[in-house]
Amino acid sequence: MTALPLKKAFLSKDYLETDTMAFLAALLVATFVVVIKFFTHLSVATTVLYITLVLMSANVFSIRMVMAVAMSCLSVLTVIFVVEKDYLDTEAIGAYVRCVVSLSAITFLALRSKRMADTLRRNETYMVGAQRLSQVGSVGFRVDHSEIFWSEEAARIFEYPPQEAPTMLKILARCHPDDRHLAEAVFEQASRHEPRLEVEHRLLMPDGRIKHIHLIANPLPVQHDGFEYVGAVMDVTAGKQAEDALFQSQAQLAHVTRVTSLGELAASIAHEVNQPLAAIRSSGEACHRWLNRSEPDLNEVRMSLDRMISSSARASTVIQRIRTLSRNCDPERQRESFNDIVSETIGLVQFELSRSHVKLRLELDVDTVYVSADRVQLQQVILNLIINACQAMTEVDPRERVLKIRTWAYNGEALLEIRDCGAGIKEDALASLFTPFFTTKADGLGMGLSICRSIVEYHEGRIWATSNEGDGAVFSIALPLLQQDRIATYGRG
Amino acid sequence: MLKPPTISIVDDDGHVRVSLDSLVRSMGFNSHSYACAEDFLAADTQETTSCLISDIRMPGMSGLQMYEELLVRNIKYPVIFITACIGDGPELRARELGAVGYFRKPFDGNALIDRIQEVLAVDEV
Repeated sequence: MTALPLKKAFLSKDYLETDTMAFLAALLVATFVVVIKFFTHLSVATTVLYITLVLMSANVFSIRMVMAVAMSCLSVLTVIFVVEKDYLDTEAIGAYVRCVVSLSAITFLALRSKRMADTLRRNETYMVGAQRLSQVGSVGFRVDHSEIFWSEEAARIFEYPPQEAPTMLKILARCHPDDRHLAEAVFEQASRHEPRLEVEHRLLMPDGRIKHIHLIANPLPVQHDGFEYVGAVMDVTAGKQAEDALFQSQAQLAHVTRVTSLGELAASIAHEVNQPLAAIRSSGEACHRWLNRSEPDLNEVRMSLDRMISSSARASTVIQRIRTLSRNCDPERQRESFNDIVSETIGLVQFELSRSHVKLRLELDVDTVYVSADRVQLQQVILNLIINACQAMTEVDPRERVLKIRTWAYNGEALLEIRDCGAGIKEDALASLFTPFFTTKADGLGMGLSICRSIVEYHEGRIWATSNEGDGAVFSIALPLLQQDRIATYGRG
Repeated sequence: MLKPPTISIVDDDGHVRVSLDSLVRSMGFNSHSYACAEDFLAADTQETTSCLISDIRMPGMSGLQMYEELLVRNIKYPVIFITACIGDGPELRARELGAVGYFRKPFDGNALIDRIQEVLAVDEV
């Protein structure tokens, strides 16, 4: 993190550059030692000086250099020992041995510590590289002191200079105004020492760019002084944008497919039906002219009328054929748990709900009730109603979008209620809500609710809507409950 | 008395073909009907046809393709299209090629007859 001494020297080149002072000091000490020893007779505790030399070089030089320095100190010691014939004096021998031992021990410890420091430095380089690649930054938060620590990558994500100390204010300053409450909620959770913090929200940069971040934090396993969290913050903007783009193009595709196939179907039907219509009309007009002649050609008249009748029959066949075509996916009703169908549908649309910041209040009936239903068709109806509800709430403040879904049984029926807090439905629109081609949306097909009604009626149920303008709308469905004895009948069917 | 003009009708739909044939004859014209573009092209109609009424969407060669082929043969008679197609594309193409009429089915028979008489009068002059 931002521990300054560790950040100082990364590569060996930096050793000499940044620690020139230490290098000069080491040189000075070396000179001092040599001078003292050879040119004076002061008995200075030279061991200490040698040790100081070794420790200083450990800070500055590479491991090999340090060993070289240590070896040269030892050899100098030994040379002096031999030259001055100290081996004749027991005390001197003792002093020499002590010297050698302590020098070796200190060198060993210094080298060990240095190796650990080098590994630490290397690991930090790897970590910084990894964080930059994955766009994940580390964060630390000491709750009681309101202190925040973060790695370089985290600073880069929030777009602050890496050397600047992070603060709560700086973080909140980057939060998107609409999502500020989310960030504040996290800080509040931290003050309550919650076991896990997680949030996904947007950042707004000074130049207007929006970033999406995902933060996770856990308390430190062992707390020393105060309560501290350690976590990671990830820049998920690219992922989010890809998700959004994918969803958009899926929706567009669905829309286009729907519109194209409906358009093509309509063109096809038109073409097929216009032929017999043209024949009927031409025959009728011909009929007139044959009759208007001074000598009406009754045979031609008869033939024209025959043609009109048979063309009309042909038109009916065409219509019938089209209906049969569309009936190929005949719905099949089976015994299904009403709550299961509702929960499954909600599962399908979870993503859309969270994306639209819609909070779901789900109240499923405690008892499991069964209906005779085509699962897929019923899910389509519920899906349609939920999506309509979400679209009705686009004008509502994201923090106040609430969708209430309730199921319960009453009077032999399974009931479902979907309540939104949108603008509501006007009185005059309520009446035509479920009729085909009725829509209040600019690009709506107007088929959704009429198809819903036709499906619900196929299920022998009822669908209706109530609304107070400005107070949201409530769409309700009632389906007959499957009675116990009817199950036996189905089994034998 | 001048021989009444012969109208050629090309349409793959039997009912439409016969009804149109009846309508045209009820006006006092002669008419020849063909079930497909290939049949019409194969027949020797250069001298006999006064006007051609054709459908556009047919199995095999389309009405527009047939018209292009006829232009290569340097036909002198006017061409009117009747079609069940939806969309402006075919109409634009037909007008480009020089069609004198374009009617969508179910068409107004009187309007068609009027148009035929117009173009034939021009021819006669």
